[in-house]
Amino acid sequence: MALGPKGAKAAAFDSDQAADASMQMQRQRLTQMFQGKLSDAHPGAAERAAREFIEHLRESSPIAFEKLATNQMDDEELNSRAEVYLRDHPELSGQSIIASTETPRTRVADLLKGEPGIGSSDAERLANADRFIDRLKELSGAAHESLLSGRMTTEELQSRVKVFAADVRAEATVATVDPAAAAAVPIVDSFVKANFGRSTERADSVCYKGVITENGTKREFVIFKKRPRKIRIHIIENGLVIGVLGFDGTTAWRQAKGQPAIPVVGSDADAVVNSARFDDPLVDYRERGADVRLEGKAGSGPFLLHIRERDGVEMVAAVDPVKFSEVSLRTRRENGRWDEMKFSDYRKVGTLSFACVQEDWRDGALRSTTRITDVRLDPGLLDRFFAFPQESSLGFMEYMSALAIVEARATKAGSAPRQAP
Amino acid sequence: MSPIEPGRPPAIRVEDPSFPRARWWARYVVDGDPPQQRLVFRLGRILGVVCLSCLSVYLALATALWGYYGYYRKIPDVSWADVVVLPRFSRVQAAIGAHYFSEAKRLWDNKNYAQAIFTARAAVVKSPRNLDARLFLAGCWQEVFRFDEAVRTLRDGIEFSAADARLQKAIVGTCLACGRFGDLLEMLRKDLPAKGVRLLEGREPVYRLAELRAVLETAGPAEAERVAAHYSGIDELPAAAPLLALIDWDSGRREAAFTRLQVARDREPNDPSIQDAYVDTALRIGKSDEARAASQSFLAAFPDLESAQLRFLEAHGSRQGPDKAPWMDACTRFLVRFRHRPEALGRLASLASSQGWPDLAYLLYQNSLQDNLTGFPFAVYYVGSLVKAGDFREAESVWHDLSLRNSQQLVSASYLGAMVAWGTGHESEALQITQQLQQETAKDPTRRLRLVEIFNLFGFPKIADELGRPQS
Repeated sequence: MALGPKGAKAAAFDSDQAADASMQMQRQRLTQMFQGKLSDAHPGAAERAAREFIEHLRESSPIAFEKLATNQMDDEELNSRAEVYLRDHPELSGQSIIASTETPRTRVADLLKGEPGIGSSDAERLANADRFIDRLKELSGAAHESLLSGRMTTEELQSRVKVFAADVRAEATVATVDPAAAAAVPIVDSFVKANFGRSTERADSVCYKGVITENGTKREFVIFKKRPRKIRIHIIENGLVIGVLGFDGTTAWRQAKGQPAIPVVGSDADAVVNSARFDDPLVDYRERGADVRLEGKAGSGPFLLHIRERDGVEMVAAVDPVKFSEVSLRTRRENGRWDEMKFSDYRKVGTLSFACVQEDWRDGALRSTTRITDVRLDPGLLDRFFAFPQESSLGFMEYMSALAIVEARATKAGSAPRQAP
Repeated sequence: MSPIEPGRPPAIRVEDPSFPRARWWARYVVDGDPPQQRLVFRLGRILGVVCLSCLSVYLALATALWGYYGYYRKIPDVSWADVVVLPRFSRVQAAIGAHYFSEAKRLWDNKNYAQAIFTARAAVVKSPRNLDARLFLAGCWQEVFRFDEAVRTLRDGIEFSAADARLQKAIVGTCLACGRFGDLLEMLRKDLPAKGVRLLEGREPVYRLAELRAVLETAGPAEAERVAAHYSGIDELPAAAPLLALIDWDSGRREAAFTRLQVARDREPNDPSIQDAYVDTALRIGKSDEARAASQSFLAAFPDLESAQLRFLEAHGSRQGPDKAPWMDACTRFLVRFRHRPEALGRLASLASSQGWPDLAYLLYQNSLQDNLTGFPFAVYYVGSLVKAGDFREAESVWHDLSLRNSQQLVSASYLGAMVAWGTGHESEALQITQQLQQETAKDPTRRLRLVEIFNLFGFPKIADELGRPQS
C-alpha cells in the first residue's frame, strides 16, 4: 500500500519516536552500568558519561551504534565498550597502569586466540593484530601510545580486543556473508601496510629505471608513473632515448626519435593504459569495487588472494605469510590462460617495498626478466610530462635525435664524442 | 771450613739444609741475637720480573692493536714500531686518517654521499693536519649545499695549515662561491693574521680582490671604494676591472663601468672574466648590438668555455630574426657538449629561467628526469621561465602541481611562489610570502639583496620594494 506524503511523514514521525524511545532505554541502561563503574564520581557523571558514550559510538562505529539502538548489543559487549570508553577518558575513572614488556602485536594476537572467528592461524591473527593497532591509533592516540609503550593493562587490552573482535564479526556479517572475503580483509590490510604504508604517506608519483631481458636481448628503460593513471615510458638504446610511450589519463601516444608524436589506438593503446595502473591490484580494492577472496593457503606457503575487478578481470595474488610481500600475481587472459608475474628482491624505497626483479611467465615458460636498478618517489613529475607533446624546435625527441647524430658522427670519425673536461 | 769470613757481618747463614728451600723471589736467612730465621725478598729479581711482565703485556697489547689495525681493519701503512713507540703514535693516527680519506673518496665516487662525508669527517678528526682530506671534506659539504659546514671545515684548518697556499685558495674560493662574505673577511683579516699569515699584505692581488668583493657584498659600494683606495695600483690591474666595474655599477656610474671594462678588454683580450663582464655590462646597459658582437668574439676566442657559450646565448636571446639560427645552433652545441654535466645544464636552465625560455627550461627538466630520475631543480627553473615569459596560468598550474608533493623542494624558491601569486592576481598571498622572506633574510642582507635583484629582474618591482623596505 502506497502512503501519501502525509502518511509518509506520520510513519517517519512514528519511526523517529520509536527510535527515540529505544535510545532512551539504552541511555538508562548505560547510566546504570556507568553508575557501578563510577561510584566515586560526582552525581550526574554517569548520566553524562552515558550520553557521551552514545555520541562516541555513533561517530566511531555506526554498526555498533545501530546494534545498541536496536537493543541487539548484549551486556558483555556493552560492558567491554563502556570500560574501553572510560579508560579513554581518565578524567572519569582512574586506573592503575602496569608496564608490559611483551610486544604489542604479540599481546594482541595472543588475546585474539580467545576470540572465535578472528583468524584460524597465527599469521591471520597477527594480521588482525596489525589491524587492531591501526584502528586503535585512529580512535585514540593516547590508547595507541599506551599500548605501544607497554603501559596498557591486560584488562584494558582485553576489553578493547573484545570490542574489536565484535566489530570485525559485525562487519563480516553486514558487509559480506562470504567467509573467504572476510578472511581476506586483514591479510590485504597487512599486505598494504607492509608494502605501501598509510594512504597519506604513499607517493603520488614514482620513476624507476631498469633493464628488461627478453629472448636474450637486453633493453634499458625508464618508467615514470603518476596517480591516478599516468605513465610515460622511455626506451633507451646506447644511452639515448629512441622511443617514448605515454598516457595522460585520456590519450595514449608514442613518439620516435626525431619524429612527431602520434596517438596510439587499439590493442597497443590498451597495453599502455593497462600498465598505467599506479598501485598493486590489492590496494584500495574496496574503493575500486573489486572483490578479493582468500582462496587458500597451502601449509607454510603463501596466501592466495583471488581478485575480481569490476570489469571482470581476474587475478590471483600470492602473498608471503611472514613478510606480507607479493610473491606473484597471476592474471587470466581472454583465452582463459594465465599469465604470471613473479616478484623478488624487494627493496624499501620510502614507504614503498619495490620488487627489483620481476619475471614474466606465460604458459609455464619465462618470457622476460626485468631488473630495476634505481627507484625514486615523487621526483617532481608534472602533469604536462605525460601529456601529448606539443610541437617544439626544442622537443625532447628532437634533442635525442641531435644527440644521436653527434654520436653517429663521432663513431664514424672513429672517436668517442668530445666530453667536457 | 767456616762459612764466615772475617770482616763480613756474622750470623747470616744462607741455604742451610734445615731451612725451607729458597725461591727465586725470596730466601731464608738467620740473623740477630739470638739468631732467628726470617724471610728476605729478592726485590731486585721481583722488580725485574714485574718490569719484564709489564713490557711483555705492553708489547702484546701493542701487537694486538697493530694486528687490529693492519689485519682486521686492513689499514695500510701502520707500522709495528709506530704503534709500540708512543711518540710515534701520531703516525698511526695519520695512517688511519689517510685510510679513511681514501675510503671516503671511494664512497663519494660510488655516490654514497652521506657515508662519504661521515668517513671524511673521521679522516679529518683522526688526522687534522691532513689538508687533502680537509679540502675534500669541504668540497663534499659544498657539493651538497651545506655551505656553513664547508666554511667551518676550512676555518678549522687554519689552526694546522694556515701557511699552506692550497688552504688559503680554498678558503677564498669556497667563501666566494658560497656567498659567505662575512666569514671570508673574518678569516682574511683576523684568523689568518693571528697565525702570522698576512695575505692582504702579500704580493698576490687575488686575496685583496676577494676582500674587496666581500666588502662590496657586505658593506656596499662606498665602503668597497674606500677599501680599494687603500690598495695602490689596483686600478691598473686588468683582473680587477670586473670587480671595480661592479662597484662603479652599484654606485650608479654605469657608463664608467662599461668604459672601464672596455679599456681592460683591449688591454687584456685573453682574460675570459673581463670578456664575460664586458658582455654582461653591455647587455645590462642596453647596448645589444655591442653585446652581440662582443659575445661572438668571446665565443670565437674561447669556443669551449661554458661562460662564453652562455653569454652568446644571452646576447642572442631575442631568438627572433637574425638571432634565431645562431641561438639554436649555439644552444644545441651547448646541450651536446655539456650533456653529462648537471651543473652546466643547471646554469643553462637558470639562464632560460631569467630570460623566459620555457621551451628550453622544459627540455632540461625532461633531460634531468631521464638522466637523474629527478625533476629538481629544473622544474623550479621551468616555473621561473614561465613567469618571466608572462605565462602565469601555466606557471600557477605547474607550481600547484609541484607543491602538492614536493613542497620541501620549493621552500628555497618561495620567492617564485610570490611571483606566481602576484602574476595571477593573488597579491595579498604574494605579500604574505614577501613578509616571510623579509623575516628569513633579516640577518642575511646579502640574500635579501639578491632576492630584490631577482624580483626586479623578473619584473616585480613592487615586491622588490616591499622586500627591500626596512622592517618596522
